[in-house]
Order: sequence, then C-alpha cells, then structure tokens
Amino acid sequence: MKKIRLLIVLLICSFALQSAFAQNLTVSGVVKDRLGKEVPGVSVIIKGTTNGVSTTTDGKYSIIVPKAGATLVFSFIGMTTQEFLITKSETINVVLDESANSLNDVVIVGFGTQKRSNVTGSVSTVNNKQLVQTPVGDLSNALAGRTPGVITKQPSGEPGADGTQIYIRGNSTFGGGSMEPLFVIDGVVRTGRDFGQMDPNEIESVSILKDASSAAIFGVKGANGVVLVTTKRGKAGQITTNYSFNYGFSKVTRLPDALGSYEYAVLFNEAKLNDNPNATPEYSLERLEAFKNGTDPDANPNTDWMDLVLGGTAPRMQHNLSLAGGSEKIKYFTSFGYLNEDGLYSSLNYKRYNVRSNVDIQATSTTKISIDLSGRLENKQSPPASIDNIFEHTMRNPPVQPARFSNGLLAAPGVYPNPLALISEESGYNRNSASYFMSNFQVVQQIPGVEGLSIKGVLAFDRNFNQNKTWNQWVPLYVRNNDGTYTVNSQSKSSLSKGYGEGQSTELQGHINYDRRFGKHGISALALVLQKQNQGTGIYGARNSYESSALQILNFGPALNEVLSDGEDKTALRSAAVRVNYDYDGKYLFQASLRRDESENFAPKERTGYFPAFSAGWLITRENFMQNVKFIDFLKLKASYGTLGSDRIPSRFGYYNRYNLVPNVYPFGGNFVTGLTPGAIANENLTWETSIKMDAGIEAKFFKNQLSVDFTLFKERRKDILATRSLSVPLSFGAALPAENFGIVDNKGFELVLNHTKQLTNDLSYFIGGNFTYAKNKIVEAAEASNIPEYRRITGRPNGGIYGYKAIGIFKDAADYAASPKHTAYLSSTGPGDIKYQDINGDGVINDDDITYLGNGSLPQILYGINGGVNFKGFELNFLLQGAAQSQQLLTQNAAWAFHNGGRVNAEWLDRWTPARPDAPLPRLSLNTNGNNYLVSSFWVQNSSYIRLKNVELAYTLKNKLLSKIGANSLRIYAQGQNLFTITDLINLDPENTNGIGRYYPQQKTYTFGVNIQF
Amino acid sequence: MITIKRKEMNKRYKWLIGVMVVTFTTFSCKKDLLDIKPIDFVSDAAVFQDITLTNQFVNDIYGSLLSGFERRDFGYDQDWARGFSNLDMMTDDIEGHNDLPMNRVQAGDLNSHFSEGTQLWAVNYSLIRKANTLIARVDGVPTTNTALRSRLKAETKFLRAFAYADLVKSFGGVPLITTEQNVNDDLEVPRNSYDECVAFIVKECDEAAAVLLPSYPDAELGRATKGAALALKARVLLYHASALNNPGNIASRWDDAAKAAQKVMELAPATYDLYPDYYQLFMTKAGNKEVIFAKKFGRPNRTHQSAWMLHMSFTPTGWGGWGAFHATQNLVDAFEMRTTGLRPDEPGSGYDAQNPYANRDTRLDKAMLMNGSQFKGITVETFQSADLSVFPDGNANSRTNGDRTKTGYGLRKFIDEKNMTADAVYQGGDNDWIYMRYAEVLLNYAEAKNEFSGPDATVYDALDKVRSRGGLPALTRNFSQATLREKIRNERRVELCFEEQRVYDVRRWKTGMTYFNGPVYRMNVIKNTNGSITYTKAVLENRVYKESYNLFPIPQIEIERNRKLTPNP
Repeated sequence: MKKIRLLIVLLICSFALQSAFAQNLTVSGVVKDRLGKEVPGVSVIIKGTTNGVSTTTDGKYSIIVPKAGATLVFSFIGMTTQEFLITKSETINVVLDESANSLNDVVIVGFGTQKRSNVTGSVSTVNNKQLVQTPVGDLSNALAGRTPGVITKQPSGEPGADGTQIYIRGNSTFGGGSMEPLFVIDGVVRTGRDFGQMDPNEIESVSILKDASSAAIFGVKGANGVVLVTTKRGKAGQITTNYSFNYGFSKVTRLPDALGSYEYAVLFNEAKLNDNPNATPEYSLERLEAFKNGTDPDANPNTDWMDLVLGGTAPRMQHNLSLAGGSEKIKYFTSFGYLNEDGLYSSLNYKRYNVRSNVDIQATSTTKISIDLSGRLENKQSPPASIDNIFEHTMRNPPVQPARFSNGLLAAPGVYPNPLALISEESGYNRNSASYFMSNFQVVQQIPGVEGLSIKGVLAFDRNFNQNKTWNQWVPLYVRNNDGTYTVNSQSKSSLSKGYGEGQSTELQGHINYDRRFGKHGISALALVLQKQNQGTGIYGARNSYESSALQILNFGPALNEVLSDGEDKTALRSAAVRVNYDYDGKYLFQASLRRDESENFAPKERTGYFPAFSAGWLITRENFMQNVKFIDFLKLKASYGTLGSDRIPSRFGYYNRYNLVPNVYPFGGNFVTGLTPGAIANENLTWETSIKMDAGIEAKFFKNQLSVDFTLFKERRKDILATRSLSVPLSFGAALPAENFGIVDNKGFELVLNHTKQLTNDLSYFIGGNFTYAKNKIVEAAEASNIPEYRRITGRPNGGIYGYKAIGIFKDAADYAASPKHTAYLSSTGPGDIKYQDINGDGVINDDDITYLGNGSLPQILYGINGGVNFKGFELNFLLQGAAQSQQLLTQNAAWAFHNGGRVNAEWLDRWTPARPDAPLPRLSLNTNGNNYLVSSFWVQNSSYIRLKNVELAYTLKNKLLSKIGANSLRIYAQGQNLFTITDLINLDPENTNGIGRYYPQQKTYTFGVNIQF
Repeated sequence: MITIKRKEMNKRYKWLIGVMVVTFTTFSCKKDLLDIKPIDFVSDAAVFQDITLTNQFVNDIYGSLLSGFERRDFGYDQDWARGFSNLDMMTDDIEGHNDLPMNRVQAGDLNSHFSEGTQLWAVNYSLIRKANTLIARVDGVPTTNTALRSRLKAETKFLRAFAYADLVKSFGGVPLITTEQNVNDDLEVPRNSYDECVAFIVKECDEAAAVLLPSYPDAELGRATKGAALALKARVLLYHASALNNPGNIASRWDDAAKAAQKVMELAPATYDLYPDYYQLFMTKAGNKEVIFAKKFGRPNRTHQSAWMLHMSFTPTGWGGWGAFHATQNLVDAFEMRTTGLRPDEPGSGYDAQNPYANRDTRLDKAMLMNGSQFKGITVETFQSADLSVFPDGNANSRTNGDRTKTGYGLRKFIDEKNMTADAVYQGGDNDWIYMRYAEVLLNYAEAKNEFSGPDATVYDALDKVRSRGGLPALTRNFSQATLREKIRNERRVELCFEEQRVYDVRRWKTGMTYFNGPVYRMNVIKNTNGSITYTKAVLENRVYKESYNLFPIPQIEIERNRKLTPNP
C-alpha cells in the first residue's frame, strides 16, 4: 500500500507542477539522408519523455518543446541517432547518417530500450526485413542462422506444427525441465506459440537476450534466455498502406532412397538364406522376372510408398494488409494477415488469421496511452491417424506390397495399414480450432518537474479457446484373390472424440523509469512490480463403436466404452525488479539489476528468490588515446555476471505429499472402483533451477565501419536442476521419488560475428557476414550411483549423450570372427559379415557391460550462419547459408535397417557384406533386426552435421514514378527459396530431424513468389 | 483558453488516477494470489482419516499387482512393450517373436539387465511400499466398521506376502522391507536369507487367513480370500521343499507343503472345484470356482494387450495379431494320447506322426492353435506349399520373421475369441490372469505328498481329477515314486502351460540343464502337390542354459544403487 500512496502523491504533484513550468518553443525543419532525400517517419522526441512527432512523407516535422534546455532526439531504424539542445524556437534541418552496422541505433532490451553502443549485455537482434525474407509458417524458423547463440532444431515440417526448438546457447538442463526461452511480446510474457504464430509483418524487431545482465530483469523466467518481440507502431504523418502477398509450394527436403521391388526381392532372398542356408527362397525366379519387367503390377507391385504419400508439392499462400499512420495525438498500426498452408497430402491443411491493432494516444503532453489488441485464429484439419502412425507405415511397407490396384481399389498391403488409407479423407478427420485474444494496455506518465522521470502501468489480459473434434472411420481395403476377385477387409466401427479447452491470463505491471544525463554522467533507472495469473480448464469426451456415421456427435454413440475427463490448473507469479544503468561520458558503462520473484509452484518458504546481475562496458574508442587510431571506428569491451532462474520444471505442487485419484483402478467383480495412488514423495525444499551466467565480449568496427567484429565468451553453470535421484535410489524403495534440486550442468562456449559491408557506387553495394556459435555442456552432478563404471557414466559427459556399443567394423571372414570377442547373446547367430564390437571392459566377451558413451547426440555443439547480399539499383540478391556441426543422429528401424519388421530396404544396402565383398560398409543381410547388428551402437550413430542454403531471395523494387499512376509508392517483387540444398553425411533423413526412426513429417523445401506494395 | 485546457486535463488526471488506484489496489491486496490449491489430488493426511479413502488406497494396491499379461520385454520402463512376452518364453514350451529380447535369454544370455527381472523387482517393491504404508496406518483410521478395517489390513498383508513370494521364487532371498522407508533412511538394505523370507510369508499368510473371508459376493470378486492366503502358503512351502531350496531334502518340508495344500482342498467342493471347460476356464469370471486368486481385468478401462500381441496373425483376418508367441513341438509332445494316457514318444501310445493332433489330450486344442484348428470360424493353416510357384497368403511357415508362427503353433489359451475384431477398441483382452487355481493346488498336493510318502490314493485322486478334464483315462495305480514324479511333472507342464509355472518349476527341480539346454523343435507342415499334408518335426533352434540361471540375476540397476546387495551367481 505504501507504494500506491507514493504513486498517488507523485501523480498529484505532477499534475500540479505541469502548468507551472509550461513555456512553449516551436522547432521545425526537414530531415534528409546523406543523399539529400527526405526521410519520412523519423521519430523526433523530447529526450526523457515519450513526447514527440514523426516526420511526414516529405521529411518535415514541427514540434512544440515545453522549455528551453530540452534535447530533441532524431532517430530512425538503421540511421545514426542525433540529438540537439533546444534553447529557442528555431528551424533545425537534420541530415541523418545511415548506420550500416546499426551500432548506434536503439536496441530493445527487457522493459526498455538502450543505445546499441551502450549495451553491456549480450543481445542480438533480427529485424523485420530478415524475418519476412524467410517465408515460414512458424516464425521460430526465421531465427535459424540469423544470429549467434541461437541453436535451432526444426523437428517437423508439418503445417501448423513446424516450429523450431530454440536453445539459447545450448542445453543446460536435464530431468524434464524445459530449455525453451522466454518469449516477451511488447513487454508482456507470452507463449512460444504466440510468437511462432505471429504474422511477420506485424513485427518491428526481435531481440534475443542471452547473458545474465540482459535477461536478469526476467528473473526466475530468464535462465533459458529471452526472445523479445517488438511490434510495429504507427508514426505521425500520412497513412501508409502495405499489402504483401506471397505464394509458394513446398516439397520434402529429402526422402530415403528405398529399393524397388526387384532389388528388394533379390535382397530378401539373400537375407533369408543368410538366416537359414536350407531355406527356400521367398521369391522365385519367375516372380523376380515379373518385378523386373513390371508384368501384372497388381500381382507384382512396385510401390514407392514414400513417393505416394509424400512425393507431391504442398502449396502455401500468405496475405498481409497493414495500415499505419496517425497524427501527433493518435497513431495507429493495424494489420491483417492470412496464411493458408496445405500439407503434402490433401487431408492436411492449416489456416491462420492474424489481426493486430496498436494505437498510441498522446492524451496530454506528458501522458501516453497505448492500446494493443491482437488476435489469431488457427484452424487445422488433418487425418485422424497420428503423424507417427502415418509415417511408421509409409517408412515400413515394402515395395512388393500393393497400394492401389489398377481398378482403383485401395489395397490391404500385408500386415500393415495402408498409409494411403490413413491419409485419405474417407478415414475421417481431426479438426482443431484455436482462437487467441491478446490485449496490452499501457499508460506512460511523465512526471513533470522531475526531468526524465516517468511512471508506467501495464495491463495485459489474454483469453484463448480451443476445440478439437476427431472422427475416425473405416476405409475399405481390398485383398486380391488368386482368382482375380477382391475381398474387402472387415469393417470396423467409427469413433469420435471432442475436446474443449480455454485459458486466460492477466498480467499487471507498474514501472517507474528515470533517465537523465548530468553532464558526463548518464543515469537511467527502472523499478517495476509485476504480477501474473494464468488459469486454464478443459474437458474431453470420447465414444466409440458408432454403428453409423450419420450423426457425428457424442450422444449418438454407445456409452459402453466412453471416456470422460476434465482438468483445471492455475498458476501465479508476483515479482519486483530494479535496474540501474550508469555511464560516464558514454565511455564507462555499468548496469546492475535485481529481481525478486515469488512463484506459487513452490512451498511458501521456498517461494521467494532474488536474481542479481551486474555488467560493465568500456567504450575504448571514446578515449582520447584512440582518436588517432584511424582504422578503428569502434571498440568496446564488456562483461557481465548474474544469476537467473527457471521455474519451468516438469511437476506441479512437488511440495505436497499427495495421493492421486486413479479412476477405474480395479474391476472387482466387473465393477470398477476408484483408487488412490501415492504420488511422488513431497519435497518441501523444492525450488527453481538456478543459472549463473558469465559473459565477456569485445565489439569492434574497422575501416569506416566496413568491417565489424563481435566476439563473446560465455559460461553458464546451471545448478539446482530438478530431477529425481532415480539413478542412485534403489528400486526397493518402492515409491515415486521426489524431485530434488541437485543437478549441475556446465555449459560454455563462444560466439563470433563478422560483418562486412561496402557501398561501391551509389547504385551498388554488398554485404557479407557470418555468425558462429560453439556451446558445449557437461553434466557435473546427476546423483549417479557410485559404482557405475566410468565408461558408462553420464557425469562428466554432455547432456543427452548417446550410449551404446562401440562398433569397430565388420567381421571380414571366419578367421576374423574366430579371433574377435563376440556378443554372448548372439553366439549362435553371428558370423562373418556381422558387426564387431569393442570389448570395452576387456573381459573377452561382449555384453551389456560394454555399453559406453558414443557421442553428444542430436543437439549440435556448433552452429553457424553465413549471409550476404548485393544491391544494385532496384535489385537485391540475398542469401543465408546455415549449418551445424558436432551432432549425431542414432538411426534405427526403417530409417536405416533392412527388412525391419518386415519392412522396406534403403538403397545403401546394395553395398552390403557378402563373402565376395568382405570390405563392404554394411553388414550382411538378415530378416531379423533383433540380432547382433542392430544393437544400439556407434555403427548406427551418424554424423548429422550439415550446411544448407536456408534461404535465398531475389527481389526488385520499382521506382516511385512508374507506380504513381496506380497510387502506389513502391512495389517490390521477389522470389525466394528455402532449404534449397543441403550438404550432409547423414543418410536418409533430414539432418535437422530429431527422430532417428524417421517417423516425422519431413522438413520442407519451399519456393515462394511474392509482391509487396506500399501505398 | 488555458483554463479550459486545465479543466480538461484535470478530468483526465482524475480518470487516470482512478484507474491506477484501482489497479494497484487490486495488486497488493490480493494476498491469496499465490495460494493455489491443487484440485486433483488428496493430501497424505486426509487418506488415513477416512475409511472410504483408505479403501480406495487398497484398491490401488490391487491395481499394482503384476500379472503375466503385463511383462515388458523391452525394458521395465517401456510401457508400450507391456504384454509382449511371457516368462514361460524362457522355457522349452515357447518360442518368442524374433524381435523380443527374450530371445537373448533363450540363447543363453540371462544377465542382470534382464528386463522382466527388473520389472518384477520394481513393481513388487512398489506394491510392498504401498502395503507397508497401509499396514502401518490402517489401525488409526477412525471408523465404526472395524470389520472392514481389519479385513483391509488382512487383504494388504496377503498382497504384500504375494509380492514377496513372487520376488523370492525369482531371486531367492531378497531384502525384507516391512516398514514405509523414508527417503533419508539408509536405503541400501541387504538381502535376507531365503528361509527368513519364507518364514515371513508363511506367518503373514497365516495372519491374513485368520481374518479373510472364504468368499465374497460377486460384486466384490477378486478380493483376497482365506483360500488365497492358504494357497499361497502351500505354494511357497512347496518351493521351500524343492531341490533348489532344500539341498538336504529335509522331508518335513514336503510334509508341511502337502498339509498346507490339503488345507485348501478342505475348502472344496463348497468353495473350490475344477471348471469343466479348459478354454472357458480362463474367460469365465463369475461362478468360476477354480479361481483362487487372479489379477482382474475389465473392459473398457483395464484391458491387457496380450490378446493381440501374443496372438498369431493368420489370414484372412482383419484383427491383426503380433504373433509374439509360438508354442514349441517340445510342449506339444508332452500332451498325452487320449486313449492310452501315454505321451506320443512312449511305446504303445498310439500316436500317428502324420495325423499328429488326433486323439490327443483335449487340452492341446484348447491351449494352442495348429494346422487345421478352427478359430472364429476360420481354419488355421500353418502349412507351406511344396509347390514354390504357389504362395498363398495364409501360409504361415513361409514367414520367417514375423507375426505368423515360427513353430507351427500359436496361442489359443487366454485369447478370448470375442476380443479379436477389426475394432481397435475391442482389441485389448479383458480376461483375468489367474495366479492360483484349484488345479494347481491339487498338483501341489500330489507332488508334495508323493515326495514325502510316495504314491498313495490321495495322490492318484488329485492327479486323476486334473487329468480327467483333458479326457485322459484314470491312471493305473502302480507307479513307483520316481515314475509318478515324472507323471506329476509332465501333468504340471501340460495343465499349467503358459501360466508362468514351468519357468519356476524346472528351476526349483534343478532340471534346467535337461530341459532348457538343448534343441527346441518346430513342426514343418508341407502341403504336397496332391493336397496331402506331411508333418516333419525339425529343430527350430538350440537353447543354452546354465545351472546358475536357476535364480534370476539381481537387476543390474539395483546392484548399482544398493552396494549391500549380493548378486546371484
């Protein structure tokens, strides 16, 4: 309550002081760039206030300054900011320099902005231009390769579910905690999906906060790094209307090369004989001939399942219309976006509608009110079969099984489902509809009389609804009998499920901001309080055994096997934070911050945490002794240290000793009774994960800003990682173990950014740049049992590592086989041609005790991006190459093995061991994929490093005069390609996938054509 | 002008201040913001203050029972692999699906990573902990229904003893943990001796039997009964008397075992009797007097996947089947001839090698599928055509890796025909897993009594009662003790096949090197070009067994966590 009283007093004072000091000066003029062209939309702000105007389309501005001694700040993204001290009413014409390296522009930081040169933390930005250059459904994909420190993995290309997993500077936790960064949109925390599903045209810039000092203001939410999104806002002046449209089509980046029927059958016979030399061949010579010649394809099919299901192209379309403009009093930006993405099969479609309206009202000369409303609607339709199921059978079915007979009937291919039936519209549907409404109301009040002091209140209220309806029905499949007739499979009954969920969240923030220079001393300070509440509820019902599909509603189905469930949850957070920045002469920079968080997910005594951070910078080029060093334009050293938290832990209410309800736990006499089962043992000391981050970096620009270098070393220790002592507590304990804060992971690495840009002539310029990230983690403490042998320990090794046998080749011949240690389980089934393993513990035999560490897994330790471009007159050519290294993928099942589960064979198996080819890379064939050769071993762990042309764009911007006839200002047409080529050693799968079985919707290669018109 | 402006601003400020005051008041006054209570669980203290909740806790202990329908072959934490194997796959009775790690055991690699063993250890200790909690606290639960309270305690005592019996027969002596451990306690508990464990189980069974009801109304069917406690005791004592655990062959142990079995037999025929039909025995729930204790299943919420994971796939069907289960010719050869009561390999049995399934013990056809079996109106064909140009589907022997039979035989016992349909929702079995049934008690008695005092009428009576259900003639009552022993052992193999008895029986008899260390056979069925069928017995594979496998290895992950555990040799 004290705070409130103080605020009221301040507000009242400010009101009283307001009129006493009013004395107006008028300043006006024109803003031009170096080439003498007027620049519209430049913001002209009275320093320390939010009071300001924007230049009109002809670059003119006029502003009332309340008193002499105020400073006017002229800023524009991509230009050097300029400041003028105002002493009288006058005309000031300004020429803004292009700051090609954007070093002087403003960077969005947590709850504020900072001059880029003054940033002491580690912040990367991606601007709107880069975002729209990558036409993707999910925005998270647009961050890949753009900035250092952002490790990305896109596990799926499915429309509406193709988001990228983002790990900022690597993976530092285990035990189920999330590594997802925090997403903050216009100062309010929102979900990763809220970010991913934004229309890129709404976004002004994205900042990525990576170190302690930049993210510390987010306290217990900040340990995984922060993605800060700033949306576009209106500028005073003429209305600008922007319309953009693009159309594209996608194809799978790569599909495994599966053998056709003839080769498959030849290999099958060989495998069968390998397994049992007395066996009769599966495929007779006549059948082999028939496969080869394609005679009677109904009886001798040659089915390319991957091609049938995934071989098509999927169109996508995106429209966006935005309007921006306003007067000095009211400014607005509104945007409407539409995305329509088809899947590779026709039963899959994703549509999204985005709207946003950002309104700024200058209520008084010291009061600014912002009302941001945004919403989106996501509609997705897919077949009722899961992606896993569809891809399992697409990956597995062998070519000798028919998919569709020549008369058009769908075939029942042996024992596995026909994926064509699974993706058919006849099989039913899975319809998802989700609507999101998000609001953000802000009031900023300058406190008159105290220069640079302002207060701000924020209210954000969000609401979302989602519903799902899944209808699953029988698809007739036929078997062709020997007499040429067809038998249909037995009919199964239909089933229906419906789910409905809703959520809401309310966030309130109060800020006090102070920003002022006293001569050479610059001070800015922020204090804020914040509280947030989320709640959600959902209900689900399902019935099956529908006799008819006439009525696809729940009450139409029999109640016999129905399922009903519901859920509810609430979360809350209350926080306060302060941050102080000080600089001396723009030379020595300091920042300190402290955040206090209270999270309801922990016991009351463990609820409160404090997260401090410090950072400092030295802008060496502002020192006198540097003034003579001509080739260095900018040089800054910086370092930071701080503590952050992560409360995104897997369990809720871990501090309660709980008994969970188990409905229908046991059927006594056929009557189901309810059970109460003990949950995990309570741990009252449960608290958040703590991350201690250290950062040191150097930023430099040389040769008239043509070359810039940014190098940062980072180190993180993530401790108090929540996990159970399941590796050391005996199973005889018998209870689910409490989560405890004991894990420790160290993560360290560096980031390097190099950029070069050059204006060759007025019409010709180019740029080339690269970023490189290396992040390596190591488990320091995982409460591992003490007597696990060193070669099997996870402690001291990377988080998420792969463990298995170490393959050391293939038994070349009988002599080699006899001389080598063998796996005890397969003594009777192994022989020459099988995989040879290393006897790690040296006991002369191979068994489970020889399992050891094989590699760090699928999350790359090295990530890099190379981008460049050329501008010539109206033409632009841009590209982005992105790559990853030091990652492995463990390939299994039908993604790598021959005949797994009676499945298909990939082309690499043509090069297999036979007595005649003892040095072949792959082992001998077998129909049994449970044998010696298919253990988890380094043989199947493949290097998944890659480099890919993530994006290339060719664009042309039309000159004004040609367009004026149709009333447009500019017209940009472009063609883009996404994931056009990839170089990798990994076979069969896309190197970014995270599923070594290959059951995933593949990544897409996309060609897009678009147009952008500004009126 | 200025005054008007001031007035306007005045209004605005009032409005603004108003909003802010409201906002910030809501902020700090909402003290309970962080006091969020979970809505979907009950606190520890509440459970044992309420007899209904206590009862529900006991329900959950029943739910934690581990049955043969829930073996996880691909790791004890792999839920998808639940129901994919059967411990008898470690015997000469069954061959597993090629993909099953169980094949490694068959090949002679039974090591401490054996996942069924780990699962058995983990699941039973989880049950034991719940039982320890209940037993320690149930007496303090306030209720007027003290009979219910003491019954719940007795049921739980039985369940805990049952879990220990499962551990002990698998691993030998195990740590006897009888109190609810605290996570900060010394959790590295050493193993108790086998005899200590047996003494504990017997004592608990006696205490439970004194309280438990002989039977329950149909609606409560499945609860532990007096007979269950007595039958468990009888079984444990039989194991205690057997060669593996009774190296000095102390005769009194056989006597104890026989007497304990007799106690159960005294409850017949009022409470227990054999069920007339051997196939329906495993499907019938109400009115089935043969069942002594079972893990209950029920549609739709508690089903097991064995129905299709273990079931062989044959065409034309639309109901799938993963075919993880293939009975061996070795087992088929143990089923006697109906007329002579002799095994096919015995002289004068009357066996026709080219009409091998005729005139056999009727339990053969009710336990498994073979060439010519009728199942759901389909004639099962496991033959391979002699003419290679004709490859009709439905030719099971042509599939070497898959879901069809590797041996010529599939599973029928436990597979409820009505659950085999194209509708996925019906594909889970809901028949119960019978842990103890009256036939076993009779066989336990016959074995113990024969070992203690040799053949007598009670032994023959018990044996004949079981055999007669298979249509076998009564035994001539002139066997020597040793011959009768073999007859009893063969009868156990046939009657209790696939019920996870043989895996332990052969171990406790110490006959593993005879049965499990050698070839298992399949039946090659060839359809000749003239339509006739030729049956040839052929070696499927050679099995490897070691004397040290008589006990399961203590799970590796447990040895790593508990340094005081002595591994089995």
